[in-house]
Amino acid sequence: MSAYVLLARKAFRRNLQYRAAHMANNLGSMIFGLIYIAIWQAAARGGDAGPYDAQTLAWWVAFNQVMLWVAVFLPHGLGIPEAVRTGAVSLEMLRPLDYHLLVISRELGTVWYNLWFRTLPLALVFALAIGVYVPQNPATYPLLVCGIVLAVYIGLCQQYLVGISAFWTVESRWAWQLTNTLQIVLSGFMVPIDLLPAPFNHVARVLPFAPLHHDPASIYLELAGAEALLWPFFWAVALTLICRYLTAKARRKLEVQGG
Amino acid sequence: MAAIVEARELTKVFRVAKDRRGLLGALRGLFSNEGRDVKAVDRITFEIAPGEFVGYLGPNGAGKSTTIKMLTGILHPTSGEVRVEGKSPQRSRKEVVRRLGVVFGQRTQLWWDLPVRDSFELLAAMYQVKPEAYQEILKRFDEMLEIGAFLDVPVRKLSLGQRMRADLVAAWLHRPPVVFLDEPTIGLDAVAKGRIRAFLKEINRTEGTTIMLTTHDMDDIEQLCSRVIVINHGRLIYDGDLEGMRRTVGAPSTLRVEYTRTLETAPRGPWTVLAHEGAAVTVAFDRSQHTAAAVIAELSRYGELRDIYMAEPDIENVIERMYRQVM
Amino acid sequence: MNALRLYGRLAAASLRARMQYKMDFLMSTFLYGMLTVSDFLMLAAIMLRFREVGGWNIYEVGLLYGMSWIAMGLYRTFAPELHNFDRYIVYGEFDGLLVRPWPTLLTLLGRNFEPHRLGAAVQGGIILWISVSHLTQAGVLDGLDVAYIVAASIVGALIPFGLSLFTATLAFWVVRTGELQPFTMYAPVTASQYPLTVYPRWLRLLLSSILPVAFINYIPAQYLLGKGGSVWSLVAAPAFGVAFVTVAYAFWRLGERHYHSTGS
Repeated sequence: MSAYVLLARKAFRRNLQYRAAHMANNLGSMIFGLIYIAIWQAAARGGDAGPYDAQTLAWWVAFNQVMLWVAVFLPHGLGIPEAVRTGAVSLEMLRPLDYHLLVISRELGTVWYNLWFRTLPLALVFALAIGVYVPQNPATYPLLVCGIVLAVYIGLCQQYLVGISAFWTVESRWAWQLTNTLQIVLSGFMVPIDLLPAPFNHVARVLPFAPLHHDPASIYLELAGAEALLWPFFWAVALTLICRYLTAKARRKLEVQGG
Repeated sequence: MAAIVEARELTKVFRVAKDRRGLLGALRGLFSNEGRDVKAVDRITFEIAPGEFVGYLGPNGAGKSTTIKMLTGILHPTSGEVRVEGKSPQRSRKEVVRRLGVVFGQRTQLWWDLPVRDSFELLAAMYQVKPEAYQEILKRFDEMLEIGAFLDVPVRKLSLGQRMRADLVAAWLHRPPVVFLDEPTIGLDAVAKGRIRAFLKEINRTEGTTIMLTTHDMDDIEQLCSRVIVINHGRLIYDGDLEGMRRTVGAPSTLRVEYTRTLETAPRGPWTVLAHEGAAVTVAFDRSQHTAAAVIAELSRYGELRDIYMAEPDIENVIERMYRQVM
Repeated sequence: MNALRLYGRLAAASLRARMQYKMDFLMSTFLYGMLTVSDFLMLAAIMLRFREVGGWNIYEVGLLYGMSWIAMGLYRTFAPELHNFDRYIVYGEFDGLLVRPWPTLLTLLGRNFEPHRLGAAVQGGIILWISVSHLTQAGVLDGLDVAYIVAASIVGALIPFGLSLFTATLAFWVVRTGELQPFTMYAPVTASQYPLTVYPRWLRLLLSSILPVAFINYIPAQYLLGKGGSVWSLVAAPAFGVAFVTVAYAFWRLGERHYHSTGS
């Protein structure tokens, strides 16, 4: 158990070195957020947005802008492609640790870092700009925690799949970019997915991207209840199975070819 | 003859800022003046005549590459002056670099993904080389360096030796009167090194190109340079020929003699005995104090000599001593 | 003219180099297309649902969106290395540009031409074409207006180019500038896809001064669509673009001088 925690702590420290550069990047994220908020508010003021009024949409954008840093903006393939390239991966797989769990916990260090140095400063700025939505129903809080944890885990698993693909292809960079684009377009990050034009709204509902943004945001803004955890829960289980199946295949490939 | 490259009282001072990390640190550094000055090059003066082949030596961090960067107009001196063909690369960079060739041994100036030929054509266009002149020079270089075999191969697929040959051609395409070479034989095997040295010798002779070479390879120096300039800690410590350098340093010459019979004890005299085995004795002596003839005469008092072998001091040894002396 | 010919040769060579990796080329074209589509999807979601934003209808916003993407796409295609310029300082490759008998910026721009970025300009062009033809039919725009819009979209590339030149020049002092780009480039250019009036006052000020993306499209479009402004705004937009790049280039020269005295 402690080995996993140690790995996470190391990742946290590594990130800490670049916090000044990250703050400059935060400035960009902040402006992006404020721009999207202004656009949505202007749009919502002019017409019917169903359950989303101007203020709700502003909170929606702000919430997802900060979620981005814990669920979506993760390192390319969680560092696996680099380890495959250098050959370090055979060493890591030989350790008496669970590889899937090892990689995920190592990246949790990065997520933890992002939470403090990306999410928190951005959240403060947005709070000053548009205020904070305080959920009324006490039951919302545990549900929200579950939603966020599932979002982080699903985001990590998707990135893990990108990484593990490096065992079979030389260029996993494309898989990474493709995944990132889908995670932004079809997750409800920019637009609540029921506002997407058909057929995108129907497709996005069942894909594993909505749990990253749409579902936790719906819970936070109390637009949905516990039922918004069904799809995330399903995808967390499904992705776990896929990850573990591919890890076993990768390990076998490594054993056959000797790295 | 008038000098083609001149450095007068050339000085470069770098301001080393207090250690600052990252973007914010750098931003803060913009507005503060904390730090200390480091003299990378300190009042260096020399003149190089057309057609000279000069070795520029010094230990790592002595200020070699800072000097080369000032001579090629990349860096501007803090004080002092550089002239190439009478012009300052600082004031008229484009005019001066048009007449220069530069090769950085560790970094290629060729387009990584393009065939060698394409890079040459681009450079020819960049330096406005006429098509006939370009064809002619390409033919000549092919004879000297056998580049024809890989002209159509992308640069990334070349061996290190091939790449260096291509880089040399690239530097000479516009027939520059002055070429700066920074470690052109670094990392190459003996055969490739020999080939490049033969080319440099030949081109220096036939084209009359003035060449300034920095290197850590003493064979480069011994085989190519008619003159060496040595710097250490930013200061010029020697400027002259190799023989003179040996003399200045007073590095020991060695003498190995064989007597007709076995010597019981080593001969004693104004030398140090390096080895003594049966009839063979090797001694080291200071040539600035004693002539070889005197030492031989002294040695022959201990018995009849059958054979004499004399070795000049190893150049590597000389340089090493020189660096140490001025520390 | 000589400089232009050299740029052409350099660009053609880097195009050949890129074509060596065909798969890579096709994939990057496809992915860059997807990226631009994600922007469009948000626009479509807003406009189809709400019909208008800040008093501008779907075709009017389409006009802004098209002009913005044409400008950005052209800039990304023709000045790709400027975008990654900090790399040249980090790895000391800037020296290699300084030993060439041309202005450093020219030698830099000719490298790594990225034709797949043109896809963004084409995508923007399609949206612009649809929007403009509706606005012409509705009698809002006439032929002369359309000619102006096309020309202004191309000249508009000067604005992202100038922003990028400013950001790149900072690398002479702070070395790593990649993290600044979201603030200086991506966010403002995204903002220019919507009418300036939707933003709060301070943001409007920022977007028409230090990060002057309003001059790509909003300032002339506002006048052409009869939403205010004067006929002078038609002159102001390209004039500002030229002035902006001129100042940015002066800044670049200053950075170059700084490099001459400190190195990397």
